[in-house]
Amino acid sequence: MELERDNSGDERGCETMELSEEEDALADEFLELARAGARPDPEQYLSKLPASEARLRPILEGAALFSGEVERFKREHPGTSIFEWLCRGEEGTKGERERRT
Amino acid sequence: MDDAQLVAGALAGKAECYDELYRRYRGRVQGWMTSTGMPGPEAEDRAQKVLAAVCRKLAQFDPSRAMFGTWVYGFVRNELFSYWREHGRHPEPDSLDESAEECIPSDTDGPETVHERRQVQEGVRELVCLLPAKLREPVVLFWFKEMTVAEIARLLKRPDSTVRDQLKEAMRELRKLIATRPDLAAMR
Repeated sequence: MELERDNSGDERGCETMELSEEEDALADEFLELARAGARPDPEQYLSKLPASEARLRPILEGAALFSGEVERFKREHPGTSIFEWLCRGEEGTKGERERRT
Repeated sequence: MDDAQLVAGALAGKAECYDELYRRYRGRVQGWMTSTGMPGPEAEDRAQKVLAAVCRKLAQFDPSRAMFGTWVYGFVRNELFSYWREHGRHPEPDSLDESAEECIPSDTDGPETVHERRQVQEGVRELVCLLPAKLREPVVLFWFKEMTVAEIARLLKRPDSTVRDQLKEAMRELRKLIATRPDLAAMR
């Protein structure tokens, strides 16, 4: 996914703007789908509320990119809980312990 | 045995259940603390304190209300707040490399495993570490612990709407981080 970098000034201004109820609901839905690994398409979602693109694009693209990284982690570390990995102690995660043995 | 069974055993006076719970959670509790930027030795001391409190209050754990790990995490958060109050701020890692090294043991893993971890560190781990502290916690709990917004709000004692806003703010931050980091360009 290529990012549009030339509107960063606009993004900064938008951070303090509250989202409308409709925008909020759309972003929430996108986040849920992205977390579930459903790979929702930001452009498709943005087309639902074209007037809100400036506010929504950074959120949806951020979620899509981050979701992609999470999916990569899951592919490369099958059986490993990413939460446990991030918070890992010396013993490693259950999945990693099982693979070691 | 799962955690709830171990708790039941510990409450019934079985010392081995206490030992197993302690063994399971010692590293996790310490890891949760270091993941917020707390220095290793400090995290070790405070992890002991947390585990002592968990043992003292074990009878208060209600498996119908929360997973044991989530319940323990509540103690960790209290200790983190105490640490942050004492230090006057949320700790941020001085160096991403140092922060990551604290979480990644190197003495027991082969080069391939270390290389794999390094790759992930440059992705998910680094991105999470780069987020402001107030956003990091909701992101980790939502994306990786797969908690609902309502569960996160209850745990963090923040309104649902605040958690939702923070998750969205975090996505904006992540997009900016990715856009301004050429070393993360492979993620696109």
